[in-house]
Amino acid sequence: MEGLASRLTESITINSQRTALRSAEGTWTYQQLGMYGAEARTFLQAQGLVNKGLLGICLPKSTAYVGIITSALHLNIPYVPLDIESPVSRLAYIMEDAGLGIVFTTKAQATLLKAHLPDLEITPFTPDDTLVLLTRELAGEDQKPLPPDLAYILYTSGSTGHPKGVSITHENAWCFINWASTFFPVAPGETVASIAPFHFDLSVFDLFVTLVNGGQLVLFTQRECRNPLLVAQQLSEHQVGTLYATPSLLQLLLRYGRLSRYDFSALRRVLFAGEVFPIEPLRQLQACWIQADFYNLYGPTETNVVTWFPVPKPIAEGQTAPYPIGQLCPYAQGAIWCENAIANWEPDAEGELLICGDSLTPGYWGQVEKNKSAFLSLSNQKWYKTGDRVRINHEGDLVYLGRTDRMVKRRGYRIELAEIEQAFTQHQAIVQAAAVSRIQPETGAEITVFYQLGIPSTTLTTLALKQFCNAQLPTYMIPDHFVVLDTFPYTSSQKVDYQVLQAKMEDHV
Amino acid sequence: MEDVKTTIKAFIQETFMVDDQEQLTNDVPLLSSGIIDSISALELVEFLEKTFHFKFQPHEVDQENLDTIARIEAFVKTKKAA
Repeated sequence: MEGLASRLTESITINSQRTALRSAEGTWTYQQLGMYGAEARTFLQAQGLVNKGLLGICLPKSTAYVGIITSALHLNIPYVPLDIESPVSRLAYIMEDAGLGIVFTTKAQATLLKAHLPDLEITPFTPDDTLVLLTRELAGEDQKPLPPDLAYILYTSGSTGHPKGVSITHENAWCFINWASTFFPVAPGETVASIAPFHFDLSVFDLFVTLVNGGQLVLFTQRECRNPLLVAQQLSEHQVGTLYATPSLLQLLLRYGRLSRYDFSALRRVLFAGEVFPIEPLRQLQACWIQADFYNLYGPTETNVVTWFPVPKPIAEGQTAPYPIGQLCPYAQGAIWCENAIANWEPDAEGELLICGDSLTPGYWGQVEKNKSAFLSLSNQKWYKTGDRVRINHEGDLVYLGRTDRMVKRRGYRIELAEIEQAFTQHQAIVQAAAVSRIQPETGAEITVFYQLGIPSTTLTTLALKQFCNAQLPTYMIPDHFVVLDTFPYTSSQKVDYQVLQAKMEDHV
Repeated sequence: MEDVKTTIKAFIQETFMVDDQEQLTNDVPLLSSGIIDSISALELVEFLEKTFHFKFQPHEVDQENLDTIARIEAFVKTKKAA
């Protein structure tokens, strides 16, 4: 058994009588979690599915989901968490791209997926038939060889217009979990909120730092997380001690959660990551939860968390700029890439942040070209080009400046605008589309799509366009504005002129 | 209670989409179709509370009660009757 799996098994034994999971469906002790995991393992073994490639999991967040994750780790089957709220076409694409031959899902979702992938076989897993296993024979060329240490694959938006899988090894995951367990120690019995969905890398902290340390994990489904009133009430009711979420979600809690109604005296630690937290709402949230320590964490899915910064308490009155992303974690090395060379690591150095170290992904699943372009080989080490521009300040902390490319962050999710454009090309009436974005101080990233119709005299309503997007893209990628153009602006090199579109957006919106 | 529907419809049209007057029927899904995102739904909740003078309980802020104009109206009526 790999490190993470053996630590989980150990924790399940030591903490057997403690509560492991809480959710709307009920509460599980560590013993119950262990028993469910054992049942799932027996089932997979009986079906002859061990050493048969990756295991997909496409379920709403639930105690069963966690049980299946523990069984996959135990059997050393790398798992791929799939967003059950994603359009089925996107899920089918990921299943093809990953070469997924085995997927746990709900009965309802299985029917939807089978419509896209007719060769899927459905086998009931739970006696009441609500949870099923999907299997299919993979052609030889679809079966990718598994790296020996692979733990899971997280899919994220891809700049080629399609999602891409980030492979994470046991060692990658463990160095972060081990560090986080020391820095943000979760005491046995302490309650941690699981806000991030399991296909999002913030959940790695929630799941594993909590469960290897004997904590209680309170599961929030994506549907529940859209309701800040409910999240606030539940955080208070379960006496959550540690909370890790995106600034977007925390700002929603502040704006709509009616925090003054509830008692949050148990809350002692708030971690945030995924995007910049503007100072004003952060200050207000700190005032609501004054007993809690706040930390800004930073790291792309490819490296997990690699820097951290403790937010001063209280935030100084004159502070207006967002806080730095801070210092490197002990397992990570950083470098500043400026004009095709590594700059000296010293105050005022500015450029693209490069990261290497034990948490660095071995690469994108099955993406030979991307694996060449996203990484640099320098002084015998493999470095990831984060695409994030940073500067070192005079305290020696890293300050986030922006992106080097077209990637947009929204609600903590990465969005490649190319993926939105790709979706629009699927529309029969649209011949061309281009997406641009801008940051709104109040609401964050706002996306506008310009499009051109094949038959200019026709029209598409906003309603129709939103419905179309909803069938192609995850909700967080649906654009805010749609603008029809008679002709597209081009640069002299015959590329879409994004600068002109950017200016048009400012005029139009 | 046609005025409840009219008020809700006017708010949705004004706040979330200016065109599409005819397509916004009482039964067109708003949340599950992506027409209204989750944050806009919270704006809608605040609008309903303010306009019709009642309070949502945390578990009531849900697609079940908010997905169509017809459902919103039914929910408002239930709350007002309580």
